[in-house]
Amino acid sequence: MKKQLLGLAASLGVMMYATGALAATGAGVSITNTATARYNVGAAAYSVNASATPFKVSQLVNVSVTNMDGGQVPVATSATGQATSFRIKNEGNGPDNFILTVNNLIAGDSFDPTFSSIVLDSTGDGAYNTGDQTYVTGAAIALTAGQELTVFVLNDIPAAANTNTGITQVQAQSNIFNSGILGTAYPGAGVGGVDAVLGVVDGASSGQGTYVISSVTVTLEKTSVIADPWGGSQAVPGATVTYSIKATVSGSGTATGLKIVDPIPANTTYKSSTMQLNGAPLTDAGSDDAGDVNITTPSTVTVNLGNVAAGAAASTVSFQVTIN
Amino acid sequence: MKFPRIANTALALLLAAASFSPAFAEDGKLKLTSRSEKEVVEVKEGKKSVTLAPAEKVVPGDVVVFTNHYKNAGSAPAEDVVISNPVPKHMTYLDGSAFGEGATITFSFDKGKSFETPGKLVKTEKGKKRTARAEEYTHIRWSFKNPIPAGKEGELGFRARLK
Repeated sequence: MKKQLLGLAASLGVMMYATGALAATGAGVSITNTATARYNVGAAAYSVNASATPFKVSQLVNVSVTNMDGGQVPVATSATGQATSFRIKNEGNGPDNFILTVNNLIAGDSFDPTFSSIVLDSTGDGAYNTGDQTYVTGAAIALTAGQELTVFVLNDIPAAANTNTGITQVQAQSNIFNSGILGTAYPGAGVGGVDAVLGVVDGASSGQGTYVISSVTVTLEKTSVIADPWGGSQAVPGATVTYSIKATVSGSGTATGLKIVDPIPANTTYKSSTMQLNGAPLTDAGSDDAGDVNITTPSTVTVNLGNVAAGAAASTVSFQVTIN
Repeated sequence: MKFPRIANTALALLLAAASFSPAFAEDGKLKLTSRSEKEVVEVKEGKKSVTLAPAEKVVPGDVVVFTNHYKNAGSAPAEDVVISNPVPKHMTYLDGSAFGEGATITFSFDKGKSFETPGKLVKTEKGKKRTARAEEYTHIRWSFKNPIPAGKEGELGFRARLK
């Protein structure tokens, strides 16, 4: 039988990392067991204690990669820098460093995205925006036990037929504990000199995101009708102009967050409460319905149509102005 | 109760010594040792064998076997032997795993204030009564019904999972 490595004499079970009530026991924590026996021999009472030789909790190496897109990511053909998002989490009980690699040659899809870059959510807001740092290929990302980081994998979309899908896969792998089956041990290589043990094959885990080609076209047709104060259609001061903007969504997919935005033309004044959507009045005020005038943007009619699927009935926004 | 025959002077010395010793004397000759082990599963030529080895490479989720070995190294029986073992910190007691011949095994979930057999460990939570779960046990106790004779030795213990 292999002799057990003894812990340091001064070890008092130092907690290396703060853990919550449900967090796994940290690597390096000292575990022992103490039993007490009380007994009598004749009239005398005795007690004796015994403690097991302490052992230190080993470091479990584990990582998870979870796709955070909530479904397929709609993209246009030939689009560049299309982001998929993933949560990388150190599922082990000790600190580790992870290298990210992307593989787009995954079976089961219709096209292969072209790798562009990995961006780390440095701003920590869960969204891809300026301020987020580009990941340097091969760099090791340090994560403490239980710590997670969001990353965005950016790919370019080839020119391909509609409704095709393309899969991108990102892998996070421990930079040191990176080879072997479950349970493979790295003696003394864990934090504080404890053993490190693989809780995931090759210390790696991966996740996939899927792009779906969504070629949506939005067509806007704008017409105007002039009514002058004398029953004619002269564009003179005092005349009323009725503008209509018809929005039609065609192609395949869904136009998400579709908005009609129309600035009030120069030299005209918006006629209060004349804004309408499909013939039904909308208030000029914001927040109470789909449209507002002069609230979202000064001197502008803004109507939110939401998500409109290709082939849905067209929407028409209309409003009136007076020529100054 | 019979006292062993000893010379007067020796008796005097023994009594003198006894007057300075604490109420619970160190050595009534019951020896106790404790050890931590992990199961090791080996498959050789298609046959699976499970052995116990000193605990190492223990990670959260692993099961550890804690064993206490006792031996009456004295010449008189040890009576009313009760061995108490708090469930180690960071460990969760594994239901039904406590072992130990010749002893009644009871558990506590209230940090040792009271001990009962599992079926009688009743806990009140939000006004409702229920039996305590193995994960809630804080202590284990072995109470020997009969005296442990001189020279007799044995083992008792339990399994627990590392949180």
